[in-house]
Amino acid sequence: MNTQPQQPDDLPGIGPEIDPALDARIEDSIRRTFGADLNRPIDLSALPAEAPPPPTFRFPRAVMGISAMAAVLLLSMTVFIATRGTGSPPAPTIVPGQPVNAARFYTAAMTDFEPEIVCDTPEKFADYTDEAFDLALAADFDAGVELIGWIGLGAYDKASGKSRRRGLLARSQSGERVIAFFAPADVEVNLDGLGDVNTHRWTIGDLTVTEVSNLPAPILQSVITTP
Amino acid sequence: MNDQKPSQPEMLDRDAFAALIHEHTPTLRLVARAAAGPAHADDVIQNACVTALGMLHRFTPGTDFRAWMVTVIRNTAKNTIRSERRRSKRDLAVGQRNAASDSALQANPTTDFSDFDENVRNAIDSLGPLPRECLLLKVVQDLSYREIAAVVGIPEATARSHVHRAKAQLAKQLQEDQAGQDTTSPQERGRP
Repeated sequence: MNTQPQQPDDLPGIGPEIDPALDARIEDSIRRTFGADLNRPIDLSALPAEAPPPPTFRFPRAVMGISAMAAVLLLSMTVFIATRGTGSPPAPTIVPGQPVNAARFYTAAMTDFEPEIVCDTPEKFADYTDEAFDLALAADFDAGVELIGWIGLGAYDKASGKSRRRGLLARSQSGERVIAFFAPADVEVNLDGLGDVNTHRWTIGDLTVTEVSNLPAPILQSVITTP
Repeated sequence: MNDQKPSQPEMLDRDAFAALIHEHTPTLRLVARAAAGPAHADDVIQNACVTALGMLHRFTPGTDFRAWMVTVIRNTAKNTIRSERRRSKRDLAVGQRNAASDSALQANPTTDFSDFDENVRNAIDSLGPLPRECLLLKVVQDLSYREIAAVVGIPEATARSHVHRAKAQLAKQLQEDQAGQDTTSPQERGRP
């Protein structure tokens, strides 16, 4: 039977040999520096009289609180983004390529009739249409038609950053409210659900204009032209 | 017949905690000196006791209290050293170097240490935390390697190896220090 001899605690031979005199001197030094007064009682008078109860684990509550606040914030932001624009009722949103729902915008515009962009001079009108449609349009401000201003129709094309879809609010000399949808010719302006109103459609540049009102004839066709 | 053994209490109370601290005071103080230096050892122990008392629910009665407390002391020492370093940096920034943060020798001016002791102390500071703990527990307390292993929480063979390698490193460093002093020019040695 192969029995290993029990290793004594002070086993020499592990690691390099150390000069016994130096080793003893080092040990004496260590005892002087670190070994003094080891048995002195530890003062426990500063400790609380009783062991405190185990703390409750609060981290999950904090996380839940923060998560709830984040959810409320996210919901608020979503509602805010969804409802901003044409005001009340909320503006319908569309995505590029989808038809413009004329009935919904018409209803919203007739209810609110507040423009987002007001162009009160021919120059501002040209600048705005140039930016919105890449087509500077001329407006006759002396034709007796009040050009209230523009509203957005939602949906921006990611590539160009533009939707090239706008609605122009106007008022006839008799005070009749009118909205005209400006959109590229390949964008369908869906007239379903408009009810008992009149629609008039024509083109200007590469845009199709669809005017919706109760009037028997369009009022903007002669007012908005290409220069 | 009821053969049930008395069950361990779920948690130590303050008095039982104090009794265990008293029982293991020499080892705990030595570990604190190894971890934070003699100057900060008592502060570290005080803080560690407060911390441990608040964490007693994590200690399982019947297990090795000394080893558990050593872990608390080590962690407390790390925090203390970090705080001291931050404080030293702040003091240096305003030109007020705090002598107390430098070494135990300065913090305890009544102790008469020789140059050799100071060299030993510096050499010990250069050891890793575990070799330093093992060496001090062996040399100062004369614990067996089995006991050192239990306190430090490492295998017995590792404890043995740490002690011997630490001693060899100290001897080598001190011999080099001695050789360096012997080759110093007389003018340099004469400098204040």
